Amino acid sequence: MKAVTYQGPYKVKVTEVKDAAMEKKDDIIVRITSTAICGSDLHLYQGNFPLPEGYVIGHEPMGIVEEAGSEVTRVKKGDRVVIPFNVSCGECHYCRHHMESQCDNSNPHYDSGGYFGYSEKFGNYPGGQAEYLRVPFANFTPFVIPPSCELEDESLLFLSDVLPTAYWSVDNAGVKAGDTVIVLGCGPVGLMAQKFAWMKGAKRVIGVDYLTYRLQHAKQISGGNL
Amino acid sequence: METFDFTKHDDMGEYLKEITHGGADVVIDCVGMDGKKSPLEWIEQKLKLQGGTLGPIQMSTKAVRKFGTIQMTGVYGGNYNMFPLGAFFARNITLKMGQAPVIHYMPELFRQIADGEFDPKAIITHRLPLGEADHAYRIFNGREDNCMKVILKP
Repeated sequence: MKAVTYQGPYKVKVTEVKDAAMEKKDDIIVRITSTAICGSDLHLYQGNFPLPEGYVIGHEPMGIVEEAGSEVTRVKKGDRVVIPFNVSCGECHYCRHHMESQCDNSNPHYDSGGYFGYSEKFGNYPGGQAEYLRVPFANFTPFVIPPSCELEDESLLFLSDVLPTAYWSVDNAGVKAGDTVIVLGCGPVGLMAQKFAWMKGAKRVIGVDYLTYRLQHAKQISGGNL
Repeated sequence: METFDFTKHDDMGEYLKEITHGGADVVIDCVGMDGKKSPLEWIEQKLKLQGGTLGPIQMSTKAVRKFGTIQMTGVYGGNYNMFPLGAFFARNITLKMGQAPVIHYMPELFRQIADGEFDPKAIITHRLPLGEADHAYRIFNGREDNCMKVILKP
């Protein structure tokens, strides 16, 4: 299959890699239909996290279940799924208490949760910028899009990372009605955090960046164009 | 909504503190270690002497109010010299951070999109075949062509 692979600082290449394959009975294989590049992929791209050449990047994918292991009950072949960047077992203390990004069972390499496509330290999982992706813990990790939903990929893809990351940021920071909130950075997560801060009832939201086009995007949010 | 270009201010953090009358209740750092770096920070990071830029941290420290909260969402790694710990302590700042636990938020956010409360596809600026990932990374990293978000289609 084809996948986006790291080839050294500032170099990525689409290469032929080993096919995503089932390893455990609760795995699924997803045929990726859309996959986004995240700002945090640029830390890898710039060479600021150690990564072997040939490593498959990407943690914002969605697609169709191609194959499901014998112990998978929550999803089946043909289901449309969004894959979150967290790899999470669903059974440990952290997963059971809404702290899935620190799953105890998804990363044997370091005391942190596992993430798709984010180096050995964060689980050594191949990433989702590929034709196919193996998703472990399929009874917990994937989000199944109800079959009645006719929204296109573009409206749903960011459930994988951008939206819940921005939403959690506002939630975790304890933003409440009447607050003043400053958001540094007007990239995708910054823009959505601004949006969610308004939705929480903030009385003043201020966006900071240095790129004119990104500041313009932020301006549009208050105009309700998002 | 108010927006500011921090390169147009000598001390953006102090200015934000001033216009918010003592600082914001919450500052959310959606930048992280690879924000705009000084030439020295760039070299220090490559030599592993510094985790990355301190810019957003210094700005947040000033722009948040006493007893306020700074949420670091942009990714940080490595070790940081000159981290302004004293400034956090002196003003009773709460610092929260990390990778988001996203899974339990997905059903509620899906509902909001399905109900038409917002449509996140507005952030997409580029749609490219997977095979053009090399080009996609280059323009996204270089902030070229007003690139905000790229989606790749395998």
